[in-house]
Amino acid sequence: MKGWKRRMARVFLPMIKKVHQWILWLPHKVHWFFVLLTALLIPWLTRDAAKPGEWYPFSNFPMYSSFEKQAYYVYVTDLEDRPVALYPTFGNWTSGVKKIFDNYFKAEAKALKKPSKKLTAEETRPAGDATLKQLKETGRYPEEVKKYAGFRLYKVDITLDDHGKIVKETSLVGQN
Amino acid sequence: MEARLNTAPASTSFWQRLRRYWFGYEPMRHHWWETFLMRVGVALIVWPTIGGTSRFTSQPVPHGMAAPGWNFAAADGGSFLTRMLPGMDFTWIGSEKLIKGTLFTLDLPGLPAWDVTMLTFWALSLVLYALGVFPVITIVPALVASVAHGVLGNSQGAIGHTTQIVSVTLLAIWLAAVWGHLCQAFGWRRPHGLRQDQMELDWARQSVMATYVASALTKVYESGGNWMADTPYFGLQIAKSTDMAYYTHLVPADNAVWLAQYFVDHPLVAQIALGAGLPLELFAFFALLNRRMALLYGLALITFHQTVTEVMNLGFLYHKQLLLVLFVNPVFWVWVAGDWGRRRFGPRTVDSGKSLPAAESC
Repeated sequence: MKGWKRRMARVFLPMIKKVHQWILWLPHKVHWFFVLLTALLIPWLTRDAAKPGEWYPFSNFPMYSSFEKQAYYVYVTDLEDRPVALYPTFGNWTSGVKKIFDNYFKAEAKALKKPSKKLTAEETRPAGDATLKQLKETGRYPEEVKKYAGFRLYKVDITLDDHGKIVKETSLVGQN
Repeated sequence: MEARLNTAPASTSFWQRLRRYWFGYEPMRHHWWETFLMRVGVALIVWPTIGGTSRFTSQPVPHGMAAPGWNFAAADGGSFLTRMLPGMDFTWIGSEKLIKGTLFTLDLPGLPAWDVTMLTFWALSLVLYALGVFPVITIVPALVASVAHGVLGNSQGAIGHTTQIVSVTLLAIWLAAVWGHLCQAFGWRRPHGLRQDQMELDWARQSVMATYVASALTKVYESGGNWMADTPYFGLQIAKSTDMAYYTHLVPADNAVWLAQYFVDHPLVAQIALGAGLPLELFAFFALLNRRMALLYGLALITFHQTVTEVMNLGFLYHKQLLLVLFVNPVFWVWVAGDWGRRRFGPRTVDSGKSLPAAESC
């Protein structure tokens, strides 16, 4: 048993020493510390959060980290289906509104135990309504919001057809 | 540069010299005027991100430090950390009254009365930092404001990444300032014998490049290694971002929308054009090796961001600005060119040996 321990120590101690020496030698330690923190530690610590890897000011930058055969965005109209400029009305960009919707959308899919891509427009409705509600309540310019009798939220799915052409399909997903 | 190559031992091969020239580690020992200009540059980049109140006044979806347990809670079942780390309220950064309201009026004899606001303190914080006055303390207000703006913005249910790099840079500068003072207090040697101001900019550069490497690692991990292969589908993202840009202000985007279908139709072109971005990000730490690499990488990454801006309507303004100030550092290269021109074409003087040519410091 003692011999086995001695053999293990002979193998592992130099390895540990090498790793230690390597850390001492490693240039740009702060850089690698930030890389480990943002790419590994924060994603692990926030693994059960709504957006794993995101913890301001740190991020693992998941945008465009994978490309799928479909994409979508949302836009807002008035009750007569005329598009509403998002920034002057709510103080938010389209990307921000899409991310807000995406949170509710994924939560809805989780509640229904279905993949979000398979939700119908009807099943998506609570997410759309909640998005509009949040925009109306937390918008930067309430006086602009008051000018409208109500809003509709449309979701545009972008996919490729059988001939490889980009096609868009629009569906109503919210009204408030 | 020429002098360095000429003085290399005769036995070193061309490839060894080339490798040393591009990949040799040479800590960037900035001149005092460089560090001053770079600090001014950083302060000017930071100011637009903190120089006002937040657009938001509530935290409907608390994020990070604003969330109970700071978003780490779920990791321990949401009990211990939730108690230990209650969510912080960052809505104060959206309060016009607090940020822009008069804290007190400075009425000095012979001078007009001056309403001092919270913004005055932040501006003062950046001015003192730019002047190099005790950054351990002076940069803290700007750092706090930057993080507060970011956390509140990200607590609206949408995660944005526009100013993250600014906050990370400020954090790295502050950490370097703290570390530098600890080194001074305990008599430790600063990394590579850098001066305090040089170390702050060095750590800022290290943190900036860490964001790129982390982004590349995420791409490799999230795509299961298929990032390059899937790049033709990037065309769908172009179509998406073009429409999204329109609905923000109802103004048609002027980006290269034709690329959307083109990338789908020509997957190899997409893989070559977009694929180049991945190694550029993954090996971004090369930019930390020496001034030449910093210049090369700075320009390459600015070009990369500008391409994304043209195609996707995504700004990356602060990324580009920080790359320009911290990596490209144009003033230094103008100085090098001027020095070279003076030595090459100017009147010949007897070299006292006391001053190094500019090329020696790059």
